[in-house]
Amino acid sequence: MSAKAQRSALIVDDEALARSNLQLALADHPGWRCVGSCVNAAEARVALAEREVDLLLLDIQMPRQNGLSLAAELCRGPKPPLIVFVTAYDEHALSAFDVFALDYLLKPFDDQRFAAMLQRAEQMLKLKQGASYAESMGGFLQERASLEAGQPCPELHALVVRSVGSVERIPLDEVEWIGAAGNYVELHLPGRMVLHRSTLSALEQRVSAREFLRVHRTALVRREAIAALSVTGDSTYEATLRSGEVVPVSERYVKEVRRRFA
Amino acid sequence: MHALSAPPDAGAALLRGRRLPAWLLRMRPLLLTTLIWGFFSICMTMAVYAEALRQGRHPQLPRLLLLHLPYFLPVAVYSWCLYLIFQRQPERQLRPARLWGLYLLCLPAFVAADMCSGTAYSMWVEGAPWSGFAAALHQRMGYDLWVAMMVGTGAFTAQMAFSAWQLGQQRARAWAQAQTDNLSLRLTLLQGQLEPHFLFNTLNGISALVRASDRGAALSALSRVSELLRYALRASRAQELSVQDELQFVRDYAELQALRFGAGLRMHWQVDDAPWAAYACPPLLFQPLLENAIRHGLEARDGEGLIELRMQARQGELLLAISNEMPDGPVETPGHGLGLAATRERLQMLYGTAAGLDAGVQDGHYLVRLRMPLKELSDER
Repeated sequence: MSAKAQRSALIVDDEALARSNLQLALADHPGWRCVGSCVNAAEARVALAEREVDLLLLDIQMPRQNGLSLAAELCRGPKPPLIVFVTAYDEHALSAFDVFALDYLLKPFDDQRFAAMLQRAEQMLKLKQGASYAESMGGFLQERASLEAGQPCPELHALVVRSVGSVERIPLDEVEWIGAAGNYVELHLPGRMVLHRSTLSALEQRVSAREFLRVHRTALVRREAIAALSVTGDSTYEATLRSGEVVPVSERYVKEVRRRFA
Repeated sequence: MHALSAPPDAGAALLRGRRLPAWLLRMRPLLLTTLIWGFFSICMTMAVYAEALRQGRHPQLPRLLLLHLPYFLPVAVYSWCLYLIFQRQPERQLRPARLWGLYLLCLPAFVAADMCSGTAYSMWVEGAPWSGFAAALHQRMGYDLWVAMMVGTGAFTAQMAFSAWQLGQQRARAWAQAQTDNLSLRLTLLQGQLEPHFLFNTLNGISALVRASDRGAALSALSRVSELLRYALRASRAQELSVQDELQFVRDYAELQALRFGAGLRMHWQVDDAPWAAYACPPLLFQPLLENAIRHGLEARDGEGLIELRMQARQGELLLAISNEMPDGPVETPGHGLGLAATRERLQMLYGTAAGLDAGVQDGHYLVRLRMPLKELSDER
């Protein structure tokens, strides 16, 4: 008898080998149980109506109705399952997945990546953050739909940040400035700093240009937080924020910063 | 292969934002030739002046210049006419036979005009009566005739050299452009062939075989993927490969697709028994057609359908026909026409009207037919 109930997962992919790949990988994890394997979105809808499913492993590229379209439907409904996109290739989506803190799995995957994905899913389920995840998913899908219609990215007003043991929703109004740190960004709020997995450029595209200004390769700053600008050397500048922190400003962006004081 | 474009367009010049009329633009070279020959005139005049000074005479320089300048005007006009002639189809004019023809035609015309105008001008300057024109002309035959011939020849040679240089520049530019076009086309092809979804989905399929401990199938699939990549690499470096190679690539591609679709993919091959290895084929020409057929004849039909491929050699032509069953109802996957349009364009570029691609519905099947000339594979690849 297992200490906790098994989590249930549903697989949706149009290719037989892809389905069996996920099934076999799942079989190695006793905490998880595969409750179904669907060929297309229609079958998945039927399966989800019949029983409650914790996790949905959803292929994006499917003929007839693709995975994103199905995800949009499910997120609008009550109690959507945790959706993890499984994709062979989608360069635009990957950075978006990070920004919205959504889980995904790249094909082909090895045992470690698969296990890591399950762990993150487990964490979300344990923290009962299904609703906030669905909200993030909604944001991601809305952005995707806008881009496909040829419109610009809709502005983000909050970021869902995931760290070990917690999921936090941070309104962008509270963020003073954002610094780059490799594959992560540092969100500087009054009194603390939070790490979020995303690139600075990916965030720059999505935050309001009226509120935030890119001042350096490594810094995206709230316009009204800039208190002073000083020259520190030949073509090197620094901006002092009202919180007292100092941020580098590069030649490329200094004109824009100066305009703020004009 | 690439036709040279028309001679450089002297037409679209703008002066302070307004378009200059064509006739005015044609005058521009005349101005240039006048300046050049005017310069020669000045040089000659200076020599004459220096000589005169040495002989103790003191002619007025400005007057001397103005006196000698009109002798060079006929040459300037001649140069200008030569320029206009050479501007029309420079390639044709520069052929040796034509050059000689032009020279033998233009030089006497120029010499005659020059002699007459020179004589007339001298007489006008000296105030001599016009009745003595013939005599004066006869008198000039000698040194002046020889000078006129040399100058005429010089002008002709100069124009010839200029045209040749211009043509060289044009050819160099056209060649560079063709290289760029070629390269970008190759890159597009390669990107199409190493199409990410196909590649990663195939690798994912192999990953599944490994998980299922199906050693044999996994190894054979890996082997096919390598063959595919090998061919793609060769394709990126060669202008043409053999039809046999291309067909093998398509077979490998089909086998890997079969891995994805399993029993759903039914392929029927009908290939003529012909020496395909001896015939040339542009690389990665057939595969996009099969890819199209699979996308619309299989993926859109929930992974189940029959695809027929037939290749024949008929009267010096290669005939390839690929047909797939039609999906019922509307499909979400767009861009059916794009793959075919690219292939059609490529065929046009390579073979002109000797090759063709047509596509349409026939008996409930979607049929794509490719026709191209059978060419022997050249030894240097």
